[in-house]
Amino acid sequence: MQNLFAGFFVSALIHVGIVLSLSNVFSIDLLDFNNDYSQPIPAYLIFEKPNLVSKKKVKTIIKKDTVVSISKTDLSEIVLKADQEILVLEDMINTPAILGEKEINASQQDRILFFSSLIEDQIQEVWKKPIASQELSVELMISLVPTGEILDVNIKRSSGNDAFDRSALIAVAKVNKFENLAMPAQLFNNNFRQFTLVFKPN
Amino acid sequence: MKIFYKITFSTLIFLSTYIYSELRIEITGGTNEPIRVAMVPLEWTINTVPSLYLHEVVKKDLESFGEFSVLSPEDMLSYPTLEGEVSYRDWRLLKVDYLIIGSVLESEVIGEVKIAYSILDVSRQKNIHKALISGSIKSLKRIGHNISDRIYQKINGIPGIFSTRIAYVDKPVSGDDSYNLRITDIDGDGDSSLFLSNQPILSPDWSSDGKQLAYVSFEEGTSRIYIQELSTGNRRALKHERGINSSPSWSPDGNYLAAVLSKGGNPDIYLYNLRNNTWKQLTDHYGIDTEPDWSPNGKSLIFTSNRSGSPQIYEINASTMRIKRRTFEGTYNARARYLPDGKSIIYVHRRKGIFHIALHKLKTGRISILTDTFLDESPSVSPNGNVIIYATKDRNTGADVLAGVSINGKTKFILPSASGGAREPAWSPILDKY
Repeated sequence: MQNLFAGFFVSALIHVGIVLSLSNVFSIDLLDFNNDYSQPIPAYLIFEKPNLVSKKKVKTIIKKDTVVSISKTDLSEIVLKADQEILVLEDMINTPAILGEKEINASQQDRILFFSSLIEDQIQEVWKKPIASQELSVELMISLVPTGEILDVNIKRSSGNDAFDRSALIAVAKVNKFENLAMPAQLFNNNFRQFTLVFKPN
Repeated sequence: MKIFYKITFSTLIFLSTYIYSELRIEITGGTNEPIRVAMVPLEWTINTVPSLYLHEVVKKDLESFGEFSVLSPEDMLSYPTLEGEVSYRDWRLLKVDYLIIGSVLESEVIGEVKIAYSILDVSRQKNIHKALISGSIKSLKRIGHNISDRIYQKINGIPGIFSTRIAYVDKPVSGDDSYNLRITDIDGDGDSSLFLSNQPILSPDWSSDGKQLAYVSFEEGTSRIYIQELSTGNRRALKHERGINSSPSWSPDGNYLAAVLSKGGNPDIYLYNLRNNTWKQLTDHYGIDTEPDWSPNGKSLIFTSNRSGSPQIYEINASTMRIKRRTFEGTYNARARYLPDGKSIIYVHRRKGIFHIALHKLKTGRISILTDTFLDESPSVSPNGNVIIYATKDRNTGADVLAGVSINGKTKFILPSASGGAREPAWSPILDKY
């Protein structure tokens, strides 16, 4: 009996997990900025003006985002300046109801693919594959700042061949800064602030 | 306790859905531009006048297979010899990927020189290799090849082959000439004779330590396999069997020679045990089995057989004796050789009546034709697997020449050879360990 219960519990946990993640409960990419709006919206605004949005929604956003600590004098100033932005914020929180989740995820995926291909192109332009590259692959962990500049590169999984690993590191060093990566802050933070580059010749 | 593990496990699965969602970008292609190297002429700090310039040797070496473009000293903006003197910006402007600097120094040993050099990664401003090597001042060229090998290894990740040699048979052009087994550096230098005979010499093959050569000689009127030591010139014959004795191939461990004997009535593959000088039969078929070659791990051999009616390549497992046909395309596939990784083979392939050298991936069966000359024969692979040398006819003069092609088919060259009768090339293993 005890074993059956354990099995049931594990299976229930997995299923609930799968169902929840499929239904996007854990996703916080509900924001769909419209094309012309690419400036990041500071998360602390939401915190300071809770009356503008419903409480429940504010909570989820605060939980997932890093709250930037900021002195009170600064805050009041920013709040004044940002009245316009708050309106957009309202808009953006309401978007899911209008667009429907599927559509948003699709456009989110498209954007990730678009920016990924920009990165891919810029690396391929400078990567000089060494001769010893058959069946080798190396994974690099890349850290970016929002301007596209490469902050840090680390070997996450080596190919075992020094020359091959080095060729990948050199390609990244040559790029130094990825061009045309201007994107919404949320998209950047969730996907491009840190990502894996896999060098794998076919 | 069991429940505890199960819960932990399920939590891990649960979390993995998050870890998996991290962005991965795959890079599969790169630029086709060759890697750009600059070698600053080494600072010469000794009294003797240099007999040659090392940077010139290295430039010629690195450019010979089309993988590198090497900057000439005339195009350099500065000539640093120490790391501290390097202005990386200058070299980046010249689009240099790797910079080599160093000096030639006096040695405590008379007649020797020391060479200190560094390989610098220009884009990351890093010293990736520092070395101090020494050698005779008379063999500066050898030292140059050695430096080229090290640079090649560091940048390309596979060994360089500039210190390797090629054995070949020089066939008589006119009636009075004799057959000459010769060995040359791959740049055509140091060509010297190992064995002369007025009867045919065939199929030289290097032992895996590079110290001995096995070959077939008809000096006694019939074919017989000999082993010759390179340092002393001493020769010994293998135990002769009735009929054909041909196509020797060393096992990677150096204990056996695979060869072809026809004592059973038709040619079959046999193994010769070099320790107790006995023959053991490997294949037994009424067709012709010939031209064996050992796989690099010593576990199997490939050979040519006409058992299906036309010459095709077969592979035999040396322990289970199981035979597998490897080639199905065309009606002539022969003289196969393994690549050093054991995953591909090359052989002579006839397409539309013309003999080409083909590369065949064993896993996928994919074939690519590497050469566009005609009458190509007896291919031999460089020990790093990146270049193939073969015998062919010069298009204009019709003379026998040795030609080479890189494994990607992009770079082709003709090996400079003294006379016009070069046949049966055999590429040595890596000789200078570094």
